Amino acid sequence: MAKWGMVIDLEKCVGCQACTVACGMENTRLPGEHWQDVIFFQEGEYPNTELKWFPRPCMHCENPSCVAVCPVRATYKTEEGQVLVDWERCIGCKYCMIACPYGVRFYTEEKPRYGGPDVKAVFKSGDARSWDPPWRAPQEDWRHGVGVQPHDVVSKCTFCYHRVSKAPKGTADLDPQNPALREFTPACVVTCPTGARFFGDLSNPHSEVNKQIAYKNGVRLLDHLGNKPQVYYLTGEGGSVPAERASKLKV
Amino acid sequence: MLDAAPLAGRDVRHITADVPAPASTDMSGALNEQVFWLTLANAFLPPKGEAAFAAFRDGLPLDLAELTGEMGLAADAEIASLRMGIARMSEALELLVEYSSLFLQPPVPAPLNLTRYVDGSVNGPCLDALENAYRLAGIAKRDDLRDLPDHIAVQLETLAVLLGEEQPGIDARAFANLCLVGALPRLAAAIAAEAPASPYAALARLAAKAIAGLAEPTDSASERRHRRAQRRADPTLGVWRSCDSCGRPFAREKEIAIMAKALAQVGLPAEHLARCPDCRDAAQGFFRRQIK
Repeated sequence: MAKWGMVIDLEKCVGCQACTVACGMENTRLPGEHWQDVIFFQEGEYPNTELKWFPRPCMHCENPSCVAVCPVRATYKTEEGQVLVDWERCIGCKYCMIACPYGVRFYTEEKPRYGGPDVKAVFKSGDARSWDPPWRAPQEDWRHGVGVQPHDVVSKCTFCYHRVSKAPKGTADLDPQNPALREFTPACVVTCPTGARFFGDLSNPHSEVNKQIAYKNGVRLLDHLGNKPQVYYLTGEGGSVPAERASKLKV
Repeated sequence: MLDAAPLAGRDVRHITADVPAPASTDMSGALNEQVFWLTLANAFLPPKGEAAFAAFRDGLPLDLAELTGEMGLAADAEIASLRMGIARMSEALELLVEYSSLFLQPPVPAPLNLTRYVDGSVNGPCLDALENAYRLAGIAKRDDLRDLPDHIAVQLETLAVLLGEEQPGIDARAFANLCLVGALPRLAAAIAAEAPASPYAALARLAAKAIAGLAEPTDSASERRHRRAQRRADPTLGVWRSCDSCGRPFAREKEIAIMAKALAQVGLPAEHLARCPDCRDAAQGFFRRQIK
């Protein structure tokens, strides 16, 4: 059984947010509800400051806080390592949003953050879905948090479960450069113009993700908390998540 | 028969096993429904003797056809099934055997103690609610009725009594919704599964169809969800934890305690629960760029 994980090389990432847009399109997200966002911050003291960034999807932790606090077991971890939300069970209590130290969960009924109109009101739904987008991706699987979500639930990055779950068994890496595997690779990985993202089996010692983590000293965000994220960052010399940022709690 | 007897300063009516059959169906429309439920209550009692069998075979379909016609209830199919079901029986014993095999003989395929369909067992919370309703209505079971107060005959007779009162202790519709509305369709399904051609299957279908008229309109799923979300966000309910950064209440203290305990059980810290999720990024110096 694979244990899917992601590696993001911050030396390659240019902060273009193509991943954010691709994720929104692939998963029919509301405007402003970015399952995969790019986070910016400034390093240094004025006048010697530097703008840096890093993409932040759900970390799909090995020991997820969200799963621990969910009162109805709507948030769960699959055998292949994805942390998902069962929208059939979710009651919208937001415990998982409060408990997640990474801030990567979204509540359906929140007001739009992007400053535009409330598209849920513009594209009202006549069924159980929370809105009726003019275009939506065909996949819909509420038990795995895929598709247009219903009202009053929490949603999050699924590591593109609808794609990855169909990958051939035993695949070590989902490389978007390989035409045979491209359709099974998460949308953000496929679309990254600089090839900064890698997606593969963390339990396979020969996978590219494991090699990258080993050779380039991969770090995990807020690693000291003990959640054991399955998203690794390669910081290198000019990487934007410095080691202390990844390991020291500042909240 | 309903007996009125003063008890503790108020009248208490006693529900008996001998539910009176309607003396005449020449009555006002307001009473038709009452008589209809009394008739059904009578029909679900054990058919003891030739007289009961004759009444069941000859009188019941005619009475029900007349009553449902007056009530505007479309029940032709059920009454036709009732006629066909009873027509295949030639003597009283056959009807009694049918009654016993459906409702009495263990394992009982279709119990007439209706709270079993609601609670899944006897003596559940639905039975408690019914007993409370009887107390409010000032109704007591007579000693010679050797069954629980959730028996279908008791409930239907009580419903008929409540429908006939100007100021009942409990509203008839509210009483029906305690158990009958939920249980009668399941009773009909249970009988249909065991003996679809039985006259009791037709009677149960008719009762289920008629009780649907008393069902309280339930809130839609979206209304329930909206109300639940409102209660969850109501700052006047419970003691709220305010964010260390922005000062806005974001969760109740009780919920924070539950979450902290759950996190501790899996060896995870809970210090970050001091801030609301919206303020954590800013506390770390993180910000987002808006995509327009």
